[in-house]
Amino acid sequence: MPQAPPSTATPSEPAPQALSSASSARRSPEAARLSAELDRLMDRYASGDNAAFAELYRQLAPRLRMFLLRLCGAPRLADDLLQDTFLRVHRARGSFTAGAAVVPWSYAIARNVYIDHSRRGRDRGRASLDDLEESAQPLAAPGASPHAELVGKRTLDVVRATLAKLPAMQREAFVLVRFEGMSIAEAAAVLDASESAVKLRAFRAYEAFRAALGATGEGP
Amino acid sequence: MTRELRPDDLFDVPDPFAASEPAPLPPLDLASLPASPDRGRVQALRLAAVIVALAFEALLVVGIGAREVARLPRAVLGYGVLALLLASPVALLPLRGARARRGAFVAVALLAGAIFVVASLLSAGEGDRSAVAMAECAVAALAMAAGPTVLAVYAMRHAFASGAGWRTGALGLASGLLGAAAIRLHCPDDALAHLLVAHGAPVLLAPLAAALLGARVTRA
Repeated sequence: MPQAPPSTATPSEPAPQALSSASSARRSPEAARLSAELDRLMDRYASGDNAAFAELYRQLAPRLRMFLLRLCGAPRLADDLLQDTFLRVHRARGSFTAGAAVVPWSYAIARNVYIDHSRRGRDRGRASLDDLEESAQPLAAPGASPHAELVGKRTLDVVRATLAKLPAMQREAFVLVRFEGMSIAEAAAVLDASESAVKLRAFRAYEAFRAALGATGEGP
Repeated sequence: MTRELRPDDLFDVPDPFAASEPAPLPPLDLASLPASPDRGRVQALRLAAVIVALAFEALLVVGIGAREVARLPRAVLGYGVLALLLASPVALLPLRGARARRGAFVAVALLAGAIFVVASLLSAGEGDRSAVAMAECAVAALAMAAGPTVLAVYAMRHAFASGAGWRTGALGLASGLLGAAAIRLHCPDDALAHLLVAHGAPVLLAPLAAALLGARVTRA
């Protein structure tokens, strides 16, 4: 496939220090209400109310499944890892601290599940090509022009391939901040890293995306 | 030419999985989940572990012979309890502020070590400085730390969603200090080198062993 010329809009050399808690500013009151509702559900479940688990699963599982999908790149594998994640949530429920936030806690457990899976397969650094092909999605809005469809497809192909090639720590940080909508502080809690480390990892990932997309002329 | 990375820059990278069809969640068979203790049972188990650990120390000290209580250095009586009070909450802090938690652990570890050394200096006196005496006493001290360490790891199994290594190390530090305090109730040898090496062995080794081996158990 011929390469398009680099986009003139490609930014040059941004500084990681400037990256701030972007997503926290984007959090809607509705998201905060849902988060509080999840915390209450988990608190009930941790206190012994087994009936809360089904509702907790219904509300939390879609988010965790997308997180796992973004990490591993394979829908079927993400579903398996999701099951394992909820098994661990169930196993650890008695250790859930009263008043703590369930979202970063459950994301940290999901990450542990993914790490354990990857250690068994020694592939934490990158997803396989089969996984990427399996996860291929419709890439343009219905009714989009053929050109827009092609551009969208190429862009997402590049993003997907770059995401799979990123070092695990950068991928995790970027996925949490960009795709999962977490603040830097929340991502740091999930990753057990300092906020500056998370900023740096997300910035490195962004640089990789910028280079990859710049090479195809698609920005950012 | 350079510019700073804006928070919104990350959002220039499109989500390759955003167009995923929301497939039905994989079914969760609640009936097949293994039993898991709720918060009340977990807290009861932890309290029981503390009581059993103290009983374990008392039995060991009585079993191998307690030193004359009247000649027990006063400074030693306090440091084990103080260090335990300092170390234990660090391991139980909820999931937020990775750098602060790790910093607190390092500070507590250094403080506990300093308290141990100062207490040893204050209470140093005459004693057997032979290597054989040191080795025998170190083995006894390590045995006194091993019991509480194993109990602590068991009581905190699946408890740490992140930072399991250093958190379990904190439990090991608390257990090591308990062992070091308990050995003073038995060992009448007050030579400074003996105190630092033989009685200090569990303070150094129990956190390392807990962090390296126990973290697999305590990780959620």
